[in-house]
Amino acid sequence: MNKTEIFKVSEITQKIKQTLELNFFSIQIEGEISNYRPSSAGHVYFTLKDNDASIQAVMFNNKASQLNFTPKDGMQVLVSGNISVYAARGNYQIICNSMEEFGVGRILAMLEERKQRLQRLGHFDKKREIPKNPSRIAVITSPTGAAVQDIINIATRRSLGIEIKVLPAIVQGAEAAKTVVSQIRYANKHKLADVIIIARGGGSVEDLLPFSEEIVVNEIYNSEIPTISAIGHEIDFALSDFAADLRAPTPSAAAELVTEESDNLVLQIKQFKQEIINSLETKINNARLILNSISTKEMLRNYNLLIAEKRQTIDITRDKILSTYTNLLKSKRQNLNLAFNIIEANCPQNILKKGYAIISDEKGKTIKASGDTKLGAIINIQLKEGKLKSEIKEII
Amino acid sequence: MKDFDKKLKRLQEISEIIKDNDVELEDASKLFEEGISLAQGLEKQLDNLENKVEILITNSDSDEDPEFTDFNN
Repeated sequence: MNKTEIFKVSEITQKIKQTLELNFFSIQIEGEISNYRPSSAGHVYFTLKDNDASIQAVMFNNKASQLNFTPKDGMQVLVSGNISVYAARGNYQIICNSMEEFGVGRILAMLEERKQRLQRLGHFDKKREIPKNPSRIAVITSPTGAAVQDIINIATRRSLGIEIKVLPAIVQGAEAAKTVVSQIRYANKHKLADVIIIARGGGSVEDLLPFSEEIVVNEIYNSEIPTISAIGHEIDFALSDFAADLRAPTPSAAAELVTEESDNLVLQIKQFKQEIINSLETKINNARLILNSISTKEMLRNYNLLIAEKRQTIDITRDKILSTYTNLLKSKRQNLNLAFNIIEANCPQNILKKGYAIISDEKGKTIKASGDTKLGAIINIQLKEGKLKSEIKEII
Repeated sequence: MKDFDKKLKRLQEISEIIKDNDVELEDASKLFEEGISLAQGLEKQLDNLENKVEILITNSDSDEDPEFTDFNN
């Protein structure tokens, strides 16, 4: 090519057209659909893009009508066709003859490759502790989705005095990654929260792709504020999960993770309260047990037993006294009888009964010896029956 | 929350003391009264902490200071 050659616009365009169309004939391109605009004639116009570049694409109605799926923004596709230059506008585009959905397997392989690369860059190494009881949470998600509702419901129910700031983001399609990045950056710039939750409800592998975009991973990695990635369901994964400080299996789980502490507080108070109630109850029950063991009934029974015992002692003692007394009386009576017998035996009357007589002088004085009287004296003789008067005739 | 933490600590203390078998019933019932009123106060304090849910209305691409409005569920 001669450097000094001067082209007309149409000439150079023609040359470019030839170069491109000859060299890029029947090629295949993989990329993400964006700016998808079907025309009324049935042709479909869209942009194919990846992280760093984009290319215009068109599929005319004769081919588009044969598609077995409806293309939409954010979808990863593989198109085959020819590059063509549209001279009037000076742009180039691919005219697609066929288009197929980029298989899930291939998407996963691509993600795996990206994951390895980002891991090597150390983007998954920053794991900080999530604040235990954050008072401000920023939630980057769709303001109209189920995820934001789940988070608000759970966090406000479990937490106390929590401040939730919803930072709206598009969570699907070509613009999603950009808005997520922008909100992470904004939250950091204005220090809007203690924790950022990046959330999205479940969806297809393609739906979740924005959260695996390199720009999102980078922004999470650079975030000063600790982040929780809560994308899709338990089984889903996005590279944001690896970059964030913590991965939550679901948006609801993320809300639970950041409110755990305050929830515990309520539980703790309840527990202490219950313990105090239980302790006092135990003490009262113990006291009652002791009281019951010495109940009035029991006391009365014991008292009666005691009384009965005393009564018995009294009875026994009385009997003892009585019998002793009786014995004493008996023995006295015996003694008395004995004495009586002796007295009786010695009674003069009884002596007289045996034929003895009592002799006394005239004055009644008993004569016990012959010297007590004299001859001629008159003596009285007392017999058992009757009396005699006699004269002493001789003293022997 | 400083006062709250202090009260919570006292509540915990009471629940430990009252568990002790050596505590006289009379003292226990005084501790009980104190503990229950503490717990109720703390629960009320927690109930009164209001949650706030807002949504950012400023464009995050802009240099404006953030502005929020109530997020209406």
